[in-house]
Amino acid sequence: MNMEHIYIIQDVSLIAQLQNKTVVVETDDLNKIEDIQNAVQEHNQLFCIKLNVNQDITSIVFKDEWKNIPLVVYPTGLGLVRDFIKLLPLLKKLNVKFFLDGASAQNYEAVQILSSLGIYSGIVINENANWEKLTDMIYYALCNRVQHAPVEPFQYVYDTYKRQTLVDYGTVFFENPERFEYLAEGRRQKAIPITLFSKAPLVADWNKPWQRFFYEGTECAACEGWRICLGKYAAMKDKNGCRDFTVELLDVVENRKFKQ
Amino acid sequence: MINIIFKAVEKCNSNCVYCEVIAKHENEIMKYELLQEVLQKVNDYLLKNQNEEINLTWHGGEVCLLGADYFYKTIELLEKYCKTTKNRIKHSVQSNLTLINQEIIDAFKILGIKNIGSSYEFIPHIRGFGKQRDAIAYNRKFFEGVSLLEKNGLRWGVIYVVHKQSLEKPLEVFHILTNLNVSSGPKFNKIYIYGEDKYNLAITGKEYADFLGAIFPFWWKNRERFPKIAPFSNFYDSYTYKVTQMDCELTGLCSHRWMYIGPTGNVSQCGRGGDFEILNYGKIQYQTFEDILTHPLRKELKNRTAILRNTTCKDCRFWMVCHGGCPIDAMLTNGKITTKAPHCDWVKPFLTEYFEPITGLVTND
Repeated sequence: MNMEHIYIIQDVSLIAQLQNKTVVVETDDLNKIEDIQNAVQEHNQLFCIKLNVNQDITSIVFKDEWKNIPLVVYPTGLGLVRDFIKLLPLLKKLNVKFFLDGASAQNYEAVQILSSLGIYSGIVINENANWEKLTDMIYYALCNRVQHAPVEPFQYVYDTYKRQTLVDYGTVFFENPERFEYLAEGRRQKAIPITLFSKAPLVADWNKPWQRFFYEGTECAACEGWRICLGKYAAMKDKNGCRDFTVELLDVVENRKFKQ
Repeated sequence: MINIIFKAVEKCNSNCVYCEVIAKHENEIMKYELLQEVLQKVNDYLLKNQNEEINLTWHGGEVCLLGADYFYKTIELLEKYCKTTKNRIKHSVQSNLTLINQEIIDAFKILGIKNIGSSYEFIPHIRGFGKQRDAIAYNRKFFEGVSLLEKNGLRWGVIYVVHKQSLEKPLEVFHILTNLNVSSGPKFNKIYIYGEDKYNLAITGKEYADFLGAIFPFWWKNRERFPKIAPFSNFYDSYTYKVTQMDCELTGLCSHRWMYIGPTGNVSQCGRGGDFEILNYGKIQYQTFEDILTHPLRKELKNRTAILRNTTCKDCRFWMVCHGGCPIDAMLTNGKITTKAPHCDWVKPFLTEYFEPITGLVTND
């Protein structure tokens, strides 16, 4: 799969090394957003600013000036719904997506509220995700006939699934090494898929780290959901949850996309 | 199209337990002079048969042991001796991929090769390097080869040999193989062991049928998700289109269209014929292609179909998908070509117990 290669940096001064490249700038400082935009736009294409904030959406002070800046925000939660409703008119003007941690039960409802109100959102699926709620979320995201904004990574899987290709929804979360490369002072590193945080990588070809599952004989290689999961949760002891979730997602996508 | 299983090398860097080729211990590599002679004979044949094409399947042993230079020499010889016929000479390759490199791939591209056939095994100590059959080292190299092929836009597919240890986990085997390569389906083959079963890997036809039968309901339900998977897709196509879509061993059409050429010029009926030195047609050095393709032994092969149809297989409604099975296998099992091969042992139970009840398709031949 040939995808545009995108560099992820945290230190905006590194932009000088990346002339004419598409970049993601990662920050946890809301005050730097406009400076980042100004620094990047001169010679580069800004894919987005990835904003990691340790606060709820409603406690972030959003600005009208950010309306042309693509933002992907990783907040801790939604906050109070009544506060969010007040914030909604401003958020509607912005180019913003919210990705919430799937380890928190409340965040599943939060994502549904965001999506129902027309805000692009997603649930970050990690080893502590609630697999039951995630499986329910498949039906909300892909089968709900009431209009709502896309919910990731379900929308990405639906849009890119072609039956005879692998789908790496880590792309949505900047974790696909075929697409993203992290650049820090003096070193470069391909994006690390979630599974490799817990196991030492052994592969020669970092573009396809999932290949190791086949020569190490791990059970993920024999999972029906593999083609849309690529062993992301290999470190989990009990794989019933992730297997049931990915198999269900695969079935729903197949049915919605090819059989209706 | 004439299919030549072309084994310029029969040595291999792997030590797969079920391989009949490496058991021959043939260390010779076809000399350039002989390679030239083969290509000249191909050219002569094609000049006399203007509507004919020849498919040269580079097989081994491991073909990549020949090295890139060998393939560049082939390209040079084709340019020199097959000037007007080279476009009617097609090339395909069977390789374990563990030695493939960019130079070899570049040569393959010049030869018009777009797909490479390979094999895969995830159960340890079946395929692998050295005495211990190191599967991890082998499969790591295999994946390096796969990555290189994909980088070059070449497609690849695998044959999976079903043996005793595979029987424990049919669906697991299926998922691993279809996950391994989602764009090209695997081909299942039953293991063939003649004589001593040193590694306790032999299976019966019924066991193979049950192995396929354990996978078949899942495949049938989800068949649109997967690319063609042999033998399921072949049976389905044969039943649907009423024309055999099976592999060579079940077509009943191999008598005059196949040939094996080995590293020292030995000619036989096909790859398996060459492996077991059955249906030998002599040396390429002393014959034309016409001599080989009309060799008297082929007559018996051609008559086999008619004999079986009128005797042993007379009332068999599965004739259309079996044709008495592989003649080499019949020879190895029964000592006689004009007998039916033991393919019945898996074809019939698979079709009657699994395929037909699940699909609702029936053949009356």
